[in-house]
Amino acid sequence: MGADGVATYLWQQMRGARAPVAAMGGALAARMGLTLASPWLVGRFLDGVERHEPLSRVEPWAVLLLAAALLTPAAAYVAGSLASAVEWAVANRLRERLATAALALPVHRHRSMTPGALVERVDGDVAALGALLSNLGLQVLGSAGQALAALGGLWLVNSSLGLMLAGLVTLTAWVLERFRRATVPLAEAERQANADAYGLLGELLAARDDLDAGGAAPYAERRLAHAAGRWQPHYVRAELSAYAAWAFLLGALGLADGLVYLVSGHLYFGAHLALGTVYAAVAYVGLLAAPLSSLREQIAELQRGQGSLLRVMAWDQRPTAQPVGRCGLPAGPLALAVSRVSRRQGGARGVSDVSFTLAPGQHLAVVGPSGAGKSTLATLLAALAEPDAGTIHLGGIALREVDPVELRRRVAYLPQTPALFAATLLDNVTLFDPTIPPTRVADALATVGLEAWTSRLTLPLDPSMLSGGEQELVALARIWLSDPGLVILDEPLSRLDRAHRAQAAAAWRRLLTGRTAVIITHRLTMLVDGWSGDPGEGPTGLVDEVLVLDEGQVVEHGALGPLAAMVQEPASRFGQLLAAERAADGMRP
Amino acid sequence: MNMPDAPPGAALWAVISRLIRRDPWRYAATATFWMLWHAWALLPGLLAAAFFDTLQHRGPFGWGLHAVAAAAAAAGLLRAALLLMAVRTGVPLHFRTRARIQWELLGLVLQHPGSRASRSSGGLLSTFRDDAERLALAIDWPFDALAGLVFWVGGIAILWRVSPQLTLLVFLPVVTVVSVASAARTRLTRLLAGRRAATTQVTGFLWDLWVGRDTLAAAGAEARAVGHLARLNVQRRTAELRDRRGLLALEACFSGTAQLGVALVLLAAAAAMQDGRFSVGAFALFATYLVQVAQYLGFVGYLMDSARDAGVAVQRLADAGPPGSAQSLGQGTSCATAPATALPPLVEFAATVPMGSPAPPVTIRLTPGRLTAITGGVGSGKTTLLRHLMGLGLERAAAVTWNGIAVDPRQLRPPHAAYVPEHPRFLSGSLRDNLTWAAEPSAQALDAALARAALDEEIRRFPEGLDTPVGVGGQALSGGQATRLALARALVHAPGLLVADSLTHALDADTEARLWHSLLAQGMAIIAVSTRPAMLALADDVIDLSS
Repeated sequence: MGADGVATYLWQQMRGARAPVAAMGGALAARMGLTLASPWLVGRFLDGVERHEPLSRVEPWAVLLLAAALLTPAAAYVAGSLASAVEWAVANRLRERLATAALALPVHRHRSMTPGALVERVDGDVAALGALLSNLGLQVLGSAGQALAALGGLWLVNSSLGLMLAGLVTLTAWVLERFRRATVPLAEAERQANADAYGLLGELLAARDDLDAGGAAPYAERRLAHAAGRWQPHYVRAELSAYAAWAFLLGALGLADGLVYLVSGHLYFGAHLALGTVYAAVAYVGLLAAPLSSLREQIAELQRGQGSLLRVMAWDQRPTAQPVGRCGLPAGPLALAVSRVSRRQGGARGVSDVSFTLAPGQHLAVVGPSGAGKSTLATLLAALAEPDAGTIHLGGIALREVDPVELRRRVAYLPQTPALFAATLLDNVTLFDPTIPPTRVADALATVGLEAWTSRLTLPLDPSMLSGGEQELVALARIWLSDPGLVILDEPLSRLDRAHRAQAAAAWRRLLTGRTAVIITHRLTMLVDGWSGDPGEGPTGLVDEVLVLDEGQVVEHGALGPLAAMVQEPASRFGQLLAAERAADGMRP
Repeated sequence: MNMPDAPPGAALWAVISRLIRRDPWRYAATATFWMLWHAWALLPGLLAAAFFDTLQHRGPFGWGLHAVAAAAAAAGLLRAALLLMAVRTGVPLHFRTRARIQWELLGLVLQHPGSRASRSSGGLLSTFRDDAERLALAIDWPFDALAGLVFWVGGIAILWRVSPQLTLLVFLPVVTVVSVASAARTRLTRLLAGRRAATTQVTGFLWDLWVGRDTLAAAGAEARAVGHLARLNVQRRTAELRDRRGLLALEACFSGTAQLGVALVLLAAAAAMQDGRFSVGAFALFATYLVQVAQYLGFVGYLMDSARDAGVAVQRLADAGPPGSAQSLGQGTSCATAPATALPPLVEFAATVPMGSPAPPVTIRLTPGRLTAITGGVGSGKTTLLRHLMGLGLERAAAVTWNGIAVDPRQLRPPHAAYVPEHPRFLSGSLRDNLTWAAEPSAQALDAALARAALDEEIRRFPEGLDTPVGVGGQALSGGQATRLALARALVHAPGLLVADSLTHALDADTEARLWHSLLAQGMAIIAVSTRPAMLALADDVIDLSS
């Protein structure tokens, strides 16, 4: 990434904030002018005193200086608050963009990244980048401007002195810039090590109950200490390189002081300069110190920020424009046709060469041992992942031809672990859709058996206080709100217990009537024998067909009735599974 | 928060002094170089005075122009050298201090469930990241403050020798005004607490966003969720900007007042300068020190900023731990490493778990080879019961006896007891890494546990076997595999007591029944949540929480 690319990118980020940026530029220019004026005013005063002019002639210079002293901080305040406002506006917009990009990452990249690492990138990196922007805006430009003003002042005092100092400053700046470029990889490595360490810390915190209950606190501490051990050398190297830049600058400033003393002293002794002018020259060089020193802090920030910037830029690439489907879907329940679909999902998971069809309104149970590829199939049907090979048709239309908005509206998916957000109950059920009236949400909650909650719609929901079953019901209420033609449920029954099953059963039946459904479950007896699981209650009527997956392949597929009747047939995989589960459930001491 | 902690200030100082004592030599070296660095600030004023005095042929030590110029250049090099020396020890010291705080904090969080029950992982992470950093920075204060004092007193003494009148007339008033302004900073503390809360909301929501990605994607709700993030962002921005503007205003006060002082010196000394009683060198000294003192007061402001940041940080760290944890930070020992008392083999187990009024407490009695099943409706508190039993809950403590002797629920840990949660979590690494959290088991114990958990055949099918990575947080595992891995993790130490949440979605009924039979036959005492009829039939006791 060239410097041009970086600058263009930063400039693009400022779009929409250019008016405040311009105002900030005005405030900075005013500060620059005042900076230039102050030493000159002192010089005038001293010259007047040296020439023994009457006090009434010299004192106005001091009064003007007083005025400049009052205006300078006002200009600095205006520039500073504008810069902060711009920084936060730009950084927040970038956070939102990165969050959007993160949500659009393909499934396998999502699975390979911790929430902690995401927070570090979207929040930590962007904060560093925001600091970089405000530094660039206010300080780098402001400091550079002030340094230029000081050099300009020197030039006015004595052109050779101005040239000499300008040469020294240019040389210093050149060295520092070379140094900065050379140390970008250090900073980048540090940010990466930083993200790794906090990624691990995030995992440890997420697993805190398991670690505690498993007596694994010492193990957790060892892992953390190990990660810190790997991070430390990167951290020390990156920090020391930033400090080295500062030390170099301080040495250069000392040299500048010596130089101005020597040259202006000689000019004074040669009567080429008045004493007040010498004072102004020395003061201008003194004025170089503050901006150049804050430039060094900004160099450290730039180094930190540039590592972040590169990683943010890498992520903020526009996704390669996929051809977006334009087709709508037929109304009502949707037919499903899966043809020779395969997908590897890391490890032994995945599906290979899966084909089946499902007529509109039919309900299919997908069963099989755990790790058979059931969940992978569900993510493919929900279009969260694309198959490596094969096609899926929905209502006769290939999945990739379907308009994405239409697809999300007509296909509902309930993942194995329901996701909840630290937001209000209302937002959790509507998934942040303010156009859904609260009364509909209340209806949906009542339908799934959470009518007691309807009075708490606008209160914040604390997901950690909800039981697994309650989380499941909230997720169910979400589906109730939409009007899908295909419903995909991943282990919907696992967290519901007997007492709530009957209640849920009614909700399920209403939810699934007139819709096509794919239900992943391993509760075979419940499908065949009824909600209570006791033989004799009769089938629930929830599913019409069963598909048995094993090691990613379809081993059996057919109507529920005939398959359930095969319970004594050793050749039927479904029969075997069902018989085993019945035997276990029916077991009595 | 009702905690019997000492006031934050005292707690903060106690923590700082303990952190310093962890590495006293490195700290002493760092402090020495930083103090020299701060004291160096007295030089430029003296050099400027020497320069102008030399021009007017009254320079010190009979120095010529070349000597003064060389001294100025040498002073710059000295300053660079001091800086490099200070950071050579200071940077590693800072890193270690921060790492140590985080390490101890992790021990606290893992040891005290109360610290984590009501907080999101994202929120906790921001405490670990930002507050630990602030606290680590705070150990610099003692020497920063001391060095400041040296500079102060030294500076005033030097100015006093030049002109007591001007020192009293201009220098002290200006300095007083600036000091008052800097005291105003402390008023911003309250704002800061709000700012950090707004930050935690953003990071916590980002966390949820990532975890709930599939749900959002499947509902096409990504843009709306980002819209919610935008609203949280605006709240945070407002809080941040309010704070920033306050700081900027004060900074403006500092820098402006110094310039004002320079103008006042000129006005006050104009007559004395004309008749030579007050030299240009003396003026240069005053002007330099005025600017430097203002800068130094800016630095005091920074110190006070970091003080209030660190105060808030200690408070938040204390909130993350149990009462009194702020005091224990910095001790260098982690409470998590304290070994659990060895318990004798289980003969008889009893526990009374309060369920919160109006529900009566639940009493469980159990001997080896027997199974207590817990059943009940959604939200009836099955998981909560187990969590309190294991000492993972916050508000209510279970009364537990082991062979008739009262023990802390937190002693129900491997190898004596083990817990299988409903939604187990894992760490990035291999299957093997995640099975050996508590201790390294023998190969036989590992194989036996995997076989019992019905995981052995699957693992044999994985090309990498036990070295197969589980993915971030265990996400490469299916839900059933995850629960069975947690079961194996629990069984690997052959605990006397097994506490298991629902295994229904991990094991088929046949496997589950066989598992319980073989564990009971082995003499294990089991408390398990289930809604399977067969399982309830197998139990010696059934506790139905819906009634």
